[in-house]
Amino acid sequence: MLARAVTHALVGLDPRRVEVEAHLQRGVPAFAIVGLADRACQEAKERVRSGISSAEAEWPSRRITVNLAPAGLKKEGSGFDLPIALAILAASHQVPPERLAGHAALGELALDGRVRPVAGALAVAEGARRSGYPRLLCAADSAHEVALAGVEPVPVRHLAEVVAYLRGEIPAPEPPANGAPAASAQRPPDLADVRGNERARRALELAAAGRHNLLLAGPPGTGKTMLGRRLPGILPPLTDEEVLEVTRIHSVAGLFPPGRPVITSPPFRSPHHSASAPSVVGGGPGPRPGEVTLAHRGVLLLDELPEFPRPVLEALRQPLEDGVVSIARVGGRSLFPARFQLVGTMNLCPCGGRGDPGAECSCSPQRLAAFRDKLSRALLDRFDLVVTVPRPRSAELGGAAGEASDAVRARVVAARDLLASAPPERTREADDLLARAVDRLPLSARGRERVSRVARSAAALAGCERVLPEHVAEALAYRHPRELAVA
Amino acid sequence: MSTRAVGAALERRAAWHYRLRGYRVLARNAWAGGHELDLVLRRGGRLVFAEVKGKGGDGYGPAEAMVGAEKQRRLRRAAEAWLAAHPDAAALEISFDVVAVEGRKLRRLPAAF
Repeated sequence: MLARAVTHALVGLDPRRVEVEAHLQRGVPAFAIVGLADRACQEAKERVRSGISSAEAEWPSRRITVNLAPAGLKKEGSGFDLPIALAILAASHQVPPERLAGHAALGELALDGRVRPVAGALAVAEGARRSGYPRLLCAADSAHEVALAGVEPVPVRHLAEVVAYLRGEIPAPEPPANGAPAASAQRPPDLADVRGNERARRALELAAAGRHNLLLAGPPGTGKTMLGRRLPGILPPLTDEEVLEVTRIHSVAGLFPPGRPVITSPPFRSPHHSASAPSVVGGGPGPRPGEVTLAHRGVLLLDELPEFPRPVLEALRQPLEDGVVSIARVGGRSLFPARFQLVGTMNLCPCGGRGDPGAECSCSPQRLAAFRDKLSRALLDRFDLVVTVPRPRSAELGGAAGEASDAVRARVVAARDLLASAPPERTREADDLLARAVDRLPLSARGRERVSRVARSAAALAGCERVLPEHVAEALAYRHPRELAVA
Repeated sequence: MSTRAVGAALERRAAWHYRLRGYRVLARNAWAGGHELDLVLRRGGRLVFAEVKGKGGDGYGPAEAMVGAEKQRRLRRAAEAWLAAHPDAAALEISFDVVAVEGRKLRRLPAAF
């Protein structure tokens, strides 16, 4: 007596089809799971057994062998519980095997037979669609994720419900209404809170318009972090395609806030500077996405940039350039998307006094040099915009609130539209200025490319059809701030 | 009464419990695979290996808790060996029962593991 259920395992973000075969033989009752199952997966034995008893189905007193094929692929996690239970029930003819054949299944079983959601339901549903399964049996809480992938979810709360549905005793259960994609519950902090700092605000707007990386430098307490946190609030909302991409990543990482199964606004990640390189770029034995991937299509804020270990910072260079991270492990290679905007903040020296007219810098030249050494030229070169944030004057702090995020975002959206439809070209005068800068400053080839992109963003924000010399001049001003030059 | 005699009395009681319910005793205290099977019973297409446990005083939990993971493993091995020696029984549906005798009470746990 052999029966089969289909599910998908995740390798990185990719779903792979897995067939769960259950074979019942006469002999001394036993239960074995084979096919490179990890611990969580081996423990499915106990959950499946008590789940089946709780669903008032019969546990067959046979020698049960469950095979997870392909046997060479490592199976991780608890999402195999439901397909294993269904394969066993089908093999013992408690549910019709031919009905089960039209469904893929995913879910963890509780000891009382309830079906629990698992991470990565969206990616698994996409796999089910690709291998031609129109319906996916899943936990009720996963139903909206599954529907997003274009697969019809069959949301089930309890194993008994699945059995009744497959026997045709009840119609397909309705998805829960309350879990509908709600508008983003938590608004990011507003730019209106920032007073003064016009130059930094302008840089933030430019960064949002052209997806540029931004480095905010300045003495402590001048609002660098505060500014950085407000970047997601002025970014345009994600497109439908991006929503799917970002939601898939966060689903695999198991990072959904309760009741919000879809991510519609750009994600924001700010790891602490004690983070390790694998946690930032992704890694682990079965590679898992890191912070750069979780910040895909959003913002990665590295607060106190020089405090990060140098290997972490250097590891950022590949994703910054290519927009993907390739994680190679003994077991295989995973590609994770990582097209994020990097925002860094830093002081100008270890003691923090430098750049502040009211304080004396007490750093020795050696300490200063060591501090500067932590940021390689290669990394600094990848920041399109470098802004120093000076200490605001009392008049600025006491003044009116700044422009609100919504108004800035409207301009950013307009500029992005312009950049996408008709990217502005440089005028001859602007070309001349850029050519002079390449010789004079020295500007690397990458530097030149970055300056021209920032100039284009500035032109788009101004609504110009051509890039004028003033735009190039502005872009150049963000390139080499005097305060960061080695003393 | 010696412990062995107590054990034999418990198994007799358990055997009668099964007989009254239509089971036939195929073997008693059968040694197989280096371990003892207290009772081997059959009713129709069902073959039952029963482990009989008695318990005197309180403490240490119920008698059936005495059949731990290691004991289960041994019973399985013994059952495999017994089946190998009795090929005609191999086509039957097999289950393991635990019979707990506490004083005058007898509790049967069908298909205990």
